[in-house]
Order: sequence, then C-alpha cells, then structure tokens
Amino acid sequence: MKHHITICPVTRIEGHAKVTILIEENEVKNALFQVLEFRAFEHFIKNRPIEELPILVTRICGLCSTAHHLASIKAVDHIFGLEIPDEARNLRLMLHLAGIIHSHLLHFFILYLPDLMLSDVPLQKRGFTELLRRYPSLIKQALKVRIFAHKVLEALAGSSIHPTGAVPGSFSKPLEHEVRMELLSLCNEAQRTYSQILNSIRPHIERFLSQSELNIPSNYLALYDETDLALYDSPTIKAISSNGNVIDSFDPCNYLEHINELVVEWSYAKAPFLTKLGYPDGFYRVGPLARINIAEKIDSDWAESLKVEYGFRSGIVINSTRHYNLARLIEIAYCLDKICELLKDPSIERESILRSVPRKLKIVSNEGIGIVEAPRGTLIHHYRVNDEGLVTHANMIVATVQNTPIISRDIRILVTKIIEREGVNEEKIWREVTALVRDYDPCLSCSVHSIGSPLTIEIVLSNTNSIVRLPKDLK
Amino acid sequence: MRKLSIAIEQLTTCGGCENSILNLGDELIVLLEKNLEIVYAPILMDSNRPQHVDIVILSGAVRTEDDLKKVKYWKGRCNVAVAFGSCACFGGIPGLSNLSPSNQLLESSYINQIGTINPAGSPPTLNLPKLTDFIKPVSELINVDYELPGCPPPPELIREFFISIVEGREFRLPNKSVCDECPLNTGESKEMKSVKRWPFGEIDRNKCLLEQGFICLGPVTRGGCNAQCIRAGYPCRGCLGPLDKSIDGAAKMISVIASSSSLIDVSIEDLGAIPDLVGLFYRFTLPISAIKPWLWRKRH
Repeated sequence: MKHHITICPVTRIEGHAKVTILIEENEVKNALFQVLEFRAFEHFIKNRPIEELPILVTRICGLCSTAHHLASIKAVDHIFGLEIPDEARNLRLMLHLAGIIHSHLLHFFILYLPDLMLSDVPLQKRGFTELLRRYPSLIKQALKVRIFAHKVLEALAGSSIHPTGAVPGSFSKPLEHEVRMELLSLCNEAQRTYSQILNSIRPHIERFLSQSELNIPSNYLALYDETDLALYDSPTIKAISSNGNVIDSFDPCNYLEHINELVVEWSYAKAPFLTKLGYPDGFYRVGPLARINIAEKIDSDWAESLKVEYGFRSGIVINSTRHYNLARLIEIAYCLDKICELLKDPSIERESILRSVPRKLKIVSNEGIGIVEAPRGTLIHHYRVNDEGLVTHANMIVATVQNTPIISRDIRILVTKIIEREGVNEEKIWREVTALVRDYDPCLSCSVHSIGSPLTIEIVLSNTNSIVRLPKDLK
Repeated sequence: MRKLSIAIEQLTTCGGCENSILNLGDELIVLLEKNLEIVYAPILMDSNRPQHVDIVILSGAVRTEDDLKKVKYWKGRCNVAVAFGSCACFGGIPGLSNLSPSNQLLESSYINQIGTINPAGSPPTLNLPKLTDFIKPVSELINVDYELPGCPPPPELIREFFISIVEGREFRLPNKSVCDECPLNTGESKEMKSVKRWPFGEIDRNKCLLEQGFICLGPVTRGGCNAQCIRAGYPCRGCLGPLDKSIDGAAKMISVIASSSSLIDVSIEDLGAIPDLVGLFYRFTLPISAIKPWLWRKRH
C-alpha cells in the first residue's frame, strides 16, 4: 500500500514551505522539505552600487535583517579595503547581539512555546493567542526582554527591523552618553527578567529533558573561536562530525573551496554540502545547536552554567534537534551579558567615529566576502564588483538553506519511527513533523532570498487516490 | 463589546511586517486582551483559514501563483482589507526584479551561480508554485480599504491604525514628507551644489544631506517614520512611498533636484554620475511607477 503525505502549510515558522512524504508498504521511500518561495535577490542586486547593498539586502529577511546588514557591510569593507576602528566594531557587534536576542525570543517564546506548553490544546487554538491567555505573565516578560533588544537596535540603527547602522569602514553615529546609560540600566533589568523567565519555565524544560529523544547523528558547521562563542567575526569556520571529530577547518574567505550547493528539482532552496564529503554525506547542520556543539568555551558564566543545566558537556556533541531550542536560550543569556559588557565601555560615545569612512570611492578588491553567524546559522555574502563599484555577481548562502537537506532526512527518519510504532497515524505525523521542522526555526524568506510562504504537509493515500492535507487548506 | 477578528495573510514577504506588529509589545497585548482576536496567522498559530473575518492584513508582494490564490480567497470574505507594508502597497524592494524576466531571475540563482552544482541543468520546478511575470502590489487584485506603507510600517503608524480601527474611526496616513519630520531640516530652501554617492565625502551629521550633495528621498517620501533613518545617520531611501496625489516619486525627485540647484552647480551629467537611478528613485516602488508600461512593453 502506498501513502503520499503532504503537510501544507507548516505553521509557526517564517515563510512558506511544504513537506511531502511518500510511504510504500509501511516504509518511508522519500521525504521532502520543499521551500516554496523565491525573490531573486542574487539577480536584482546586480548593477547596483556596492555601498547600497547593506541596506538593500536587509530585506532578504525581516527576522534577521541585522545579520544580513552586517554580513553585507563586511563584504563591502573588504572591497574598499577598510580597517574598522574598535568602537565601530563594538557598535556593530552590539547591533548583531541585539538582533540575535530579538530573533531567538520570537522563536522560542512565540513560535515554539506552544509545542512545549500547549501540547494538550486542539489545533485550531494552538498559538500565540492561547499562549497569552494561559501564561500572560510569562509572555509579557518575554516581550519585555524583546523590547529591550528592540530599543538597542532602534538606538543604534534607527529601526529594529531593516536597520541602517553600519557604513563602509565604520558605523553611522556614536552612541550618546545618556542613551548609553539608559540602555545599560535597561540591560540589567532585561538580565533580571530573563533570569526569572528561565526559572519559571524550568519545570517544563526538565520534563522535556526527561522525554525520549530523536538523536540523529549529524555534521555541524559554525564560525569558531577557541576562547569564546564566535558570532560576529572569527578567522575560522569549523565543521565537525556527530562525534566531535574535526572534518574541516578553513578561512571563511575560502568558503567556495569547502562548501558547494546542489540544485534539487523539488525545492527553491538549494542543498549545500561539505565539498570534502560530497553529498549526501556532507550535509550539515548550522545554527545555535551547531554553535554550542562547536564552541569549546563561552565567555559568559551565565551561558556556561545554562549549558550544564541543559545537558551539554564539553567534548560531547548533542545530536537531538530539540536541543536547538535550549541552545537558543543559552545564546540569549550570552548576548545579554555581552551587550552589558559593551555598554560599559565609554569609547562607543566617540564623535570621531566617521573618520574611517572613505572620502573617495576607491575599489581595492573586486571581490568581497562577509560572513557572520546569523540567528539561524552561518551566513555568507559574496559580491564581485567592477571598477565603478557596481555589482557584477552576488552569491549568498544563508543559514536556513544549509539546514534544509538535513530537515528532509530527519523527517524521513522520524516518520519511519512513528510508522514502526503505530502505523500511518496522520495526525501524529503532522504534529511531530511540524514540531521537528520548528526545532530548526527555519526562515524560508531567507533560505531562498528568493520566494516565500507557510509550510504544508500533504498525505496522499494512493490506494484510494485521496489526498489528505493537514491542516485543511486552499483547494 | 465583541472583539474584531483579524487574519494575517503572508504573501511573498521577508517576515518583517509581521515582526513589526509584535514589536508593539505591551500595547499589542492590551489590544488582544480587549479589542482584537487574531484568528488566522500561519506565522503565529496552527489554525486554518476562516470563512470570514472582520479584518484581513495582507503583507508581502504577489510573486507566485500561490500568492494570487491567497489574495483572491479573501474577496468577499472580509469587511476590511489592508495592504500592510511597502511590498503589499507598491511591490517593495523585490519589485526591482520586474526589470528582468523570471527565467533570468531563476538562472542567476540556480544555473549561473558560483559553487552551485546543477545536475539537471534547469531551475527547480517539481510541485513548486510558478513565478508570476511581474511582482504586483495587492491592490491590483483586490479592493484595499487601507494602505499602510513602510518597510516595515513605522510603529507609530501601526499603533494609530489599530486604535482607529477599534475606535471605529477612519484611519488616514499623514500627508507630510519625511523632510517635515527631519531634524536636519532648517525650513530654509535647499541648495544643492554637487551630487555625490553616499557616503563618500566629508559628512556633516548636522546638516541636510541633500545640501551636502547626497541624494536623500526625504522631500518626495511620505513621513510618519519620524525620519528614523536620517536620525540614525542614513539618507532616506523612500520606503513609505510617494505622498498623496504624487503620481511618480522619481519624477518628483528629479524636479526637487532641478529646483534646488542651478545649472551651474549641478548638470544632467552630474546626475548621470550617480549610477542606478532606477534602483535609487524607485527602490520600493518600481511595480507602481510611471515606467511600468514601458517595462511591460519591453517584455512582450
């Protein structure tokens, strides 16, 4: 007997995607995580002035626009051959950290929390409104911390969504003294609030840690720094295997020799893989779980203690996707600590900040590469320009796209387990597959910088030729 | 009082518009506790599309056949339809792709791309929604009661919009320009003595950017954003679109430049030295621009 399952749309994720699963004789023959969007950024930014890109490409993603802004400005600095003064680098870093908090809080407390805390609620009610009804103080606290991140972004870059802070060689303005002091006191408050939040969700996390887990051995890739969690700049990208062995380690600027992308006919998202291992062996995970697995040390006591609490042990790779969510919580604590540290330094008030912006347009290199760790993982912007500084070629490898081939594989393994246990239980498949996809916090606008929409699961029972779409949707 | 039901339908979008609604924080919570009920929003909840709602918020541009279906679904199923954000209102930044046919867009990503391996030699197609020929704003497909532009719409406007709706008042966009809200605007007439590419040159952070020779779309762009980009040290790029009764923002901008500079100071050649005038003047509005018919003819 053949079943063909499609889940469409997949809810509580950013963008539009569909899961298609083909089952024959109770065996999963194939599972595809299809991304349904395409917006063509790589094409339409051609022939545009390179200095305009850092604000153009933010529109790739409204959840991690700061990461795109910063990866882009790093590539632009490269092209103009610019050195960044420390205070400008610190303002950029602060912008980045606030962007990560803003994105992670949205995912954990608004998109993901219903899976953790509303599993008994029927589908039609599962979501933000019900969350707010049942856990008003928790959600209000989470939004409060998020508003802190929003205020940092607004103070530094005009807006928390599609910021305009970084300029070639520097940052557009210093932070005024009063603003710095106000943000510092808000930061301390945000740390306290976040600590209360973590206390109140502790029983839920403990229950979650005691449940059996789907551990699927995977490769991981992230920026690496031997002394700290590397989120903004680091001379190395490291790829490790599921047991922690180093597969590859390279200068981010040489990424083309180490990562290739495969075009698959069934998705607008390509399938990146480690060149060394080829595909499918070289598919890998990126994002918070990859970063926490790869970082040997985190320069924040708070983050280190959370790591221990959530079961991360140094030298041991955690392969459960549910731990993506816990890794996000650890990173929020880390980012709050770091922002606090950066705000204590008065050098970010220096008026001379614009001195490193070039007075004349001068192309030093016709190629520029900028790489940061975006909330969802390693983000690569690579531009080529002509002598007038107009873009001739652009290649972007965004975080989510790197996870998409692994998501397809995980769905196949998960559905196989469900069928072994209880046959083709469609409701269960829908519930668990969407939860699995959500663990990764995919951002599909990003993944295709390209076309965008909610995730769909479709189940086609081929013996009856009927198609069951979950949830019911447009016919 | 009965709560007003709201659906949020995402078309081809970056998610920034939805994110900007959540940025209302406490105010959003108060609205949800008292006046509004979100009944459908795939980004926030698992429920299915309802048969009817009071308000549908359409965010994003129409780029695929799926988007067309989604917009059409709401015809006759809502009391109020809102085009939310610059993509829904004007096509937005992805609207710049209207300069090229869709096969070229796909080729740049899937065929002629460095580091990309494409065994089939063609772009992906299997069970994927097809691209439309052009990006369109939603108002071309459905009657829109309100337009709330901005990339994303500024928090003040979103707040004012929701409050007007729950109080049963008509919502009106401010018909003042970004210059009217700009801290660098002295009120005196502007004099442009040169044209330069931003940010190359000596920048005075306390002086009007246009007067320094940097193109800033403040004079021809609707305000409501409190000139946030200029306050952050960046020129305006026009995300809130043209003012009422202004047919084409680019034409208006060229006239602003002409009237604030004498031919001795700034010539047509100087303006020609600014590359990519289309991408600068129509950054958010190409799909509704005066050159739209020309783009269409070029393609057909």
